[in-house]
Amino acid sequence: MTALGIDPVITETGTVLRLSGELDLATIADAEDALARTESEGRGGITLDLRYLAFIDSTGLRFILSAHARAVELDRPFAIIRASDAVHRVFVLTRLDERLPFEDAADPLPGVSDR
Amino acid sequence: MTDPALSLEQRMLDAERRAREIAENAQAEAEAAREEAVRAREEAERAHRLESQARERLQVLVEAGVAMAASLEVRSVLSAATAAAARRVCDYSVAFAVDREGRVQAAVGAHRDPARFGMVERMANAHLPDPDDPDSIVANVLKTGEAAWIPNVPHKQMERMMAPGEQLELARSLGLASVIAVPLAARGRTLGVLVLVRDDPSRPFVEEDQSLAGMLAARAGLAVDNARLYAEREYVAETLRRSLLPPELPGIQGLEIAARYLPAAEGTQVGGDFYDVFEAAPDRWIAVIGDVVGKGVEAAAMMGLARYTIRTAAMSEGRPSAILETLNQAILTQTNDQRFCTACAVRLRPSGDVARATVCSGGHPLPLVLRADGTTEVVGSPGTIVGVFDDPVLVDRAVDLHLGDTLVLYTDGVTDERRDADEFGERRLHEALTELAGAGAQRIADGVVDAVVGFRTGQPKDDIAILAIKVVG
Repeated sequence: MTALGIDPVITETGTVLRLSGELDLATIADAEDALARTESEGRGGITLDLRYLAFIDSTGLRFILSAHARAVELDRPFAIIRASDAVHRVFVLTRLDERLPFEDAADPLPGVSDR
Repeated sequence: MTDPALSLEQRMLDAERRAREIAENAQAEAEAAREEAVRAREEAERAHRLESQARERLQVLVEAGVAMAASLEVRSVLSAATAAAARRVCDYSVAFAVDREGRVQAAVGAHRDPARFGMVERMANAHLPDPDDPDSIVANVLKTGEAAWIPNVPHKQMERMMAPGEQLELARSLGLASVIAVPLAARGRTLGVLVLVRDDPSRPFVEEDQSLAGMLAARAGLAVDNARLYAEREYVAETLRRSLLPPELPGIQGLEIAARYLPAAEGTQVGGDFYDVFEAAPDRWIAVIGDVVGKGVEAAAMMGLARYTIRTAAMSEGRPSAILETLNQAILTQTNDQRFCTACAVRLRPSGDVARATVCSGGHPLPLVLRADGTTEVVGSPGTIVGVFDDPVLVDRAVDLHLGDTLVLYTDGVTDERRDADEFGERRLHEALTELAGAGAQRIADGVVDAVVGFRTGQPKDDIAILAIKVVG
């Protein structure tokens, strides 16, 4: 039973990794595996879609920081689709909202109202 | 020419006889066919039995492998190995582990009949094998690292193998007819011995049993090795963590200080919460609380780095933001893998009934002030996490604490705890504090922990640390 859902979606410009549920110490290994696969197999940019994320802890923040750092190093486009307000607060508290390339979703998911 | 009458009679007799012969033949053929069918069925059954025996043997290894892999303690690895052996290979089984000095540790046992588990363990532990005893199979296996197989244990030998008294008595009532003893080894070292016993002389162990025991022991050896490594890591991490928490908070004139720390899971994984309170200069105190990413030895090492860097920086730097900037640089130069911590540093200058608190947060939840009248407020501004960027934004904010006011520092374990999908959150923290208005610092720290523990369902997700600083004048 994993509390984290990971759905890769291939788009014209790259891969969107849609994360849902809880990104924390208990689930981080799954997220790292999925990201490593996307980094090695996928082409183009990487987008982390956090809209369905219910919880993130410091391990999850580190995962996102590492993903960003690697993308910069490999010169691959990288973006993060903002999480819900409740989850995004963590990025504000840690001032990571100023450091990471957040963007609003271009295509709202069904069932997710755009703020 | 034959006599027609006779001939008729004869012909009838002949016909009758032929009919009888045909019937008899048919019966014999049917009999033969039946026998053939029985033989074929027996053959099929035998093949099936052999196949299911082979399957069963494989099953032993699979089951035991899964159970042992899930065990992080040597004893539970041995339990899993003996249980698997007793369930399918032998009547009962005993396992011994040796410590680093080669001393035999307490035995673990299992019996095909669960009611006899106790007897097996009592027998094995009544007298642990003496490494120098030439009659001890276990001692010999430990010494040589080679398996031993005694298909039929002579009565005299059994008496020599067992210590007189309770052990021999128990061995007699359990029965000891056939024995296999195999070493539990990993990385070239013998870590223990697995003993398999059959109690019935008519079912001695055969060569196949020995090879199966060897395969089982190979898996158990690796699992014992893992469990030992794990125990060592945990011990190191736990020792580090204990050395990093301040054993006792200092007494400060005019202030009452209390802390509570609740690890997510005792002994399994060391979490990353830390706190410290110390005097940086005369009448200038520093209180700090923080949270290091990750768990275990690496987290403990960073906690050490954080704590000592903060103490050192505080000797020359007055502002909490400068202290956290120094820590930020220290982590940046020592790591390059996005490892970080969050921390909140507070400078305290108590003076009579007022204490000025200067607060700086590096990505850490902002502290709260519980006023004497029960109102609560958040103090400080968000700052950048510590240890990743070389230009962090760190802001100092000052707040005056008056008589009866309490500054509460906490880690996100408090607000992240959940009742099903519902987070404890900041609102509940404010409410819990309001209810604690007027209480002493220790009661406030305890009260917050009680509220969180009472709220949550399921296993704790994270460590919880709370530091309460109350102005008592």
